[in-house]
Amino acid sequence: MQKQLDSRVTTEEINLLIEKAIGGDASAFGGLYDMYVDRVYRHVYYRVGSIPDTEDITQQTFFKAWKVIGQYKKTTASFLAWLIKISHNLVIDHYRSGKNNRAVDIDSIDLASGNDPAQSAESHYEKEQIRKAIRQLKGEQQQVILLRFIEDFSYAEIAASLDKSEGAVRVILHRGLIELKKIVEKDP
Amino acid sequence: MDNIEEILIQCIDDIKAGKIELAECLNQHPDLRQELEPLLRMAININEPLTTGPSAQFKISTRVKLMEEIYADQVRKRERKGLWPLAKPYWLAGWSRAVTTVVAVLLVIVISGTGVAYAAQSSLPGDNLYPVKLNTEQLQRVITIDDAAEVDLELKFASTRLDEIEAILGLPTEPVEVVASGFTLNFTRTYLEEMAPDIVSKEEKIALAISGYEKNLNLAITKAEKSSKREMAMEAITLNILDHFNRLDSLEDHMPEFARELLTQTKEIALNSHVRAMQNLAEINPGRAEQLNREVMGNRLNRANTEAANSNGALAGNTQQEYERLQQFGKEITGAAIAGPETPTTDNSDKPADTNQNTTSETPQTPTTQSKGNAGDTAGNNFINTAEPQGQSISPQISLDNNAAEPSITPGQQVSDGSTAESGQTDPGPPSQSNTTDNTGSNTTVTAAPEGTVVVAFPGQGDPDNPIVITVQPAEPPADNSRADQNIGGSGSAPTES
Repeated sequence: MQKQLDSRVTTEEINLLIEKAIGGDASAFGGLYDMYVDRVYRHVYYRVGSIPDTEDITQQTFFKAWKVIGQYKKTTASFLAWLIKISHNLVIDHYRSGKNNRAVDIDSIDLASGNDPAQSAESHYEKEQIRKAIRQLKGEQQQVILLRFIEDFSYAEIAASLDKSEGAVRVILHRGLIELKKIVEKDP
Repeated sequence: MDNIEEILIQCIDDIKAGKIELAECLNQHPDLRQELEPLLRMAININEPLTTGPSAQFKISTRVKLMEEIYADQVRKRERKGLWPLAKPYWLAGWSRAVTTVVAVLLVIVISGTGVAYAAQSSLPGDNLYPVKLNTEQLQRVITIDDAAEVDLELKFASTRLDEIEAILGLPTEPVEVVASGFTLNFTRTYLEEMAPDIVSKEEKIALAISGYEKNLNLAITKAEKSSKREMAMEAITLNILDHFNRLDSLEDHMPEFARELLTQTKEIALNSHVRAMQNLAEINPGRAEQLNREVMGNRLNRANTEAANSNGALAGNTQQEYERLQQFGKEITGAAIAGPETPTTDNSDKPADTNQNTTSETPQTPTTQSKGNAGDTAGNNFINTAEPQGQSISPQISLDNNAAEPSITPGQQVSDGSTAESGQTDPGPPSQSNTTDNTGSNTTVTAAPEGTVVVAFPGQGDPDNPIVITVQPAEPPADNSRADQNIGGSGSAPTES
C-alpha cells in the first residue's frame, strides 16, 4: 500500500509519477525525489550517523534507483520501501568498504531541537544510547526496527520490502528489541 | 493466548497511538510483565530525531546532479541507438518538461529567498559564499531549456565575471569619464594604491574570475554551436564581447600595475572567443561574420588610437597586435565569403594585388606602432586622419612620441578583406559619397557628414542593406572643408571614381 506523504499529492498522482518514471520520464522521477529524499536521508542517517556519509549514500540511492527503476514492481512494496531497500544495500556496502569511521555528529543536531535544556539533555542521552545501539544491530533486525519505528511502515510494507511474511517480521522485531536491550545494558 | 510477539507489537502500537498507557498494557499481561516492560520502554524511546534532515543546499544540488546524470544517460542511450541529435530526449518534451521547470523554478525561488543565497550573489571569487553563487548559476543552467536563452545565460554569467573583476579592483561599475574628470581618475588611482597590501589575494581572486569568464564564454560558444539559432547566437556572442572589450579597456585605464597582465589575458580570451564565434558564423553567413569582425577591428583600432593619445606605447602595441590578428582573421573570413554561396558575382579576389588597375592605393600597410615624433599629425586623434590628401591608402600607423605626448595616427585603414579604405576629408556641408568596388565586388562608401565627421560604410557580404558604419569624429574642426568624396579601393579591386 502506498502511503500518502503529502496532503497535496494523492496516491493516484504518486502512482502516475512512478509509472512515468518507469517509462523514462526524468521529471517524474525528479518529483519522486522531491517527495522521498527526506525520508531516505533520515533512514540512512540513522544507520551511518554522519552527515557526509549520509549525503553520499542518499545521493547514490537515487542515482541507483533511476538506473534500475525498470525493475520496480509496485505490487510488492511501496516506492519508498523500495528506495529504502536500495539504500540498505548501499549502507551495507559502505560498512563493508570500511568507510564508517567518520565522526558521529548526531549530538550537535539533536541538541538544536529547542526544548528545555535539562529535559532535552536527559532525553537526548537516552535516545542517543538507543541510536548507538540500533547501529550495532544486525542487518534485518536493524532494518525492521527502523522501518517500523522511524519510517512508520506497516508490517505488510516491511514484509513486502524484505520479502518476508508478516509473521516473520514480527519475530524479527521482537528479537531485535531483545538484542537492543542487551546492547544498551552491556554498554550503558 | 497470543504469543509474545503479538502481545508486544499490539502494546507498542497502542501505546504509540495513545490508546493506552504503558502501565495499563503491563497490567493486562502480568505474567509477561518482566519480559515486556524493558522491551516496551525501549520501543517507545525509539523516536525520530526532530531536526535530522537534509539541508536545502544538499537537496537542490543533488537534484541538479541527478537531472544532469539522467539527461547525459539518455543522450548516451540515444547516441548508441543513432537517434541523437535527431530526437530530443522525450523527457524534455510536453508537460513533464514543464513540471521539471516549475519544480526547478520553485527551488530557485526557495534558495534565492534564503539569506545565504542572497548574500552569495554579491560574493567574490575566494569568498566563502562564492560556491553558493556558482551553484545558483548551475541551477539556472538546468532550468533554462531554450537554446538561445542558454547562450544568453552564459553571456550573462561572463558579464558577471567581469563585474567581479571590477569589484575586486574596487573600480566603479560604470566607465569613468577619463577626459573630463581628472579628479575621479586621481581618486581611483589613490584608492587602488591603498589596496596594495592585499594585492596577492586580489590577483588570485581575479585569476579565478578570469577562469570563470573563459569557461562561460566557452560554454556560450559550445551551446551556440548546437543551437537551432546558431547564427543569431554567434552574433550575440561577438556583440557581447564588444561590450566586454569596452569594459576591459576602461578597467585597463585605471588598474594597478599588478593586474595589467591579467587583464591582457582576459582580453585574449575575449578575442579568441570572438574569433571562434565568427568562425562558426562564417560557415553560415561569411558576409555577416566579416561585418562583425570589422566592428571589432574598429573597436580595437579606436582603442589603439586612444592609448597612443595617452602616450601609452605598451598598451597601444598590445591593442595593435589584437587588431592585426583580427585583420588576418578577416582575410580568412573573406576567403570563406568568396567560396561561400553568398559571394558576390563580381569577384576579383584572384587577381594579384600588384596587378590591379586604376587603384589609387599603395601596398596595404599593416598598422605599426612607431616611436617617433609626429606631433604634426594629431588632428582628430582618429584612426583615419581626415586631413590626409586623397589617393593614399588608409592604414593605421599609430605614431607615438612618448616625449612629446602628442601621438598621432597616420591616415589609412586596411580593412579586413584586403581592400584599403582611403582617407576621407571632413566636410561640414551636405553629405557626399563615393563608391568603389572592393576585392569581393561589394561597394564601400565614404561619406562626409555635415557635422564634420567621416562615415565609412562597409557593405556586408550577405546583407547589402545593412552596412557596417564606422563614424570618425575629429576632436577639432578640420581646417580644410573640402568635400570628402574618396575612393576606396581594395588590393584586388579596380576602384572607380564617382
